[in-house]
Amino acid sequence: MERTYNKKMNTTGKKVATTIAIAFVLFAAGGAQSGAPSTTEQDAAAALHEARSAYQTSDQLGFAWRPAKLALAAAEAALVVGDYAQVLEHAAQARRLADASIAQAEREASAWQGRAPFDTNHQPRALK
Amino acid sequence: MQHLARIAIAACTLIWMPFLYADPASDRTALRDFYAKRFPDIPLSAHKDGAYALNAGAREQWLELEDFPPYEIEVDEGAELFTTAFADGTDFSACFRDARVRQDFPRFDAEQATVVTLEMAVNACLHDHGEAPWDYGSAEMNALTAYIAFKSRGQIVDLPTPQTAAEMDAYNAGKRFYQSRRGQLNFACSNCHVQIVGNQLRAETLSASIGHVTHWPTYRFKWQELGGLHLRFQECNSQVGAEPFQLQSEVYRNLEYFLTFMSNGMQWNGPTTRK
Repeated sequence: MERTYNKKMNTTGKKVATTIAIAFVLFAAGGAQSGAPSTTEQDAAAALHEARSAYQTSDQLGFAWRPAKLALAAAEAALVVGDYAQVLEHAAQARRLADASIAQAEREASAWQGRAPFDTNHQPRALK
Repeated sequence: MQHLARIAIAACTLIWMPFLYADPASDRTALRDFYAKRFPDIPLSAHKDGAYALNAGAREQWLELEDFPPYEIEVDEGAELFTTAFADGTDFSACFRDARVRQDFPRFDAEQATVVTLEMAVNACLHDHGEAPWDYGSAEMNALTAYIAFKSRGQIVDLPTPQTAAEMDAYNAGKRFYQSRRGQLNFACSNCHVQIVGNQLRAETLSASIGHVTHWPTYRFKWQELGGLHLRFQECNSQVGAEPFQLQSEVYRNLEYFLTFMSNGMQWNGPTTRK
């Protein structure tokens, strides 16, 4: 009987300890979040500047992507309404897409020459 | 700084690239041979009808549409515009004779050192006679070019072989554009119109490029109006996720120049209808 009681107490104690620990972790995380510096206008403007710069490079190369332009426009629209977190998100996407389009331009600087039908080594595939 | 370096590398690449190109006549032969092998039962001249040369069912429907074509009104409007007097008392016949001039464009203008298209020539004519130019995508431009195309039907595409350095630059720029993958979907013109030509993308049959320039402006049911070749270029670019260039931009004019040379020997057959 005593052993059972002790066992119950142990189980209850463990539950209480776990609950306190979880509450503490959640409280600490919340505190850390509220204490962390929020996205500032400067962060957003810097991210947008980098995204714009990358997009302009791809545009100058003649390989701009439409989705990159749309993401850039979304970032600029978010900046107007002061939603800096959204600016960061859209600017990062625009930057990724613009970088990919620049990589495409660099690849295509020579890759286009090996394509059918002007590459004499290429044989057309049979029509499926 | 990194971006500047990338631009510099690309610029250097462009400078020495022209020396690696084949001559235009060989390119044209290669493209025609390719289509001849790919479609042994279809005469090359039939590709002026685009996908309707490849798909019998679609061709039948298209021919029926051509009995009462939706571009008829615009052709009539173009005829009227052609003879409407400018402020100086002349009209378009001062620039384009009897309107049978479709086969004269595009051409490379040595003086301007650029490819001149029919649309550019129309605006040059307006300018020379003291008139305001038209927007390249305007109803007036489409109507007048439709009338010129209609009057020029049956004439043969016969672009002189590019020879001078400037002509070759324009030709090579067009060829390079045609062969370069672009956009988020990473497609070149040649991916659809050479590599998988004749196959279908969804419900659309992919046409051969040797007929791509012959039939403009075209009434596309998707657009619900007439539009020019460059509008189609813009649409193609957008469809693969690339940012399109301006109508009559140098990039598109060079592409038109390249495609027109590839189409030498075909009939001019505009305007027409497409899905």
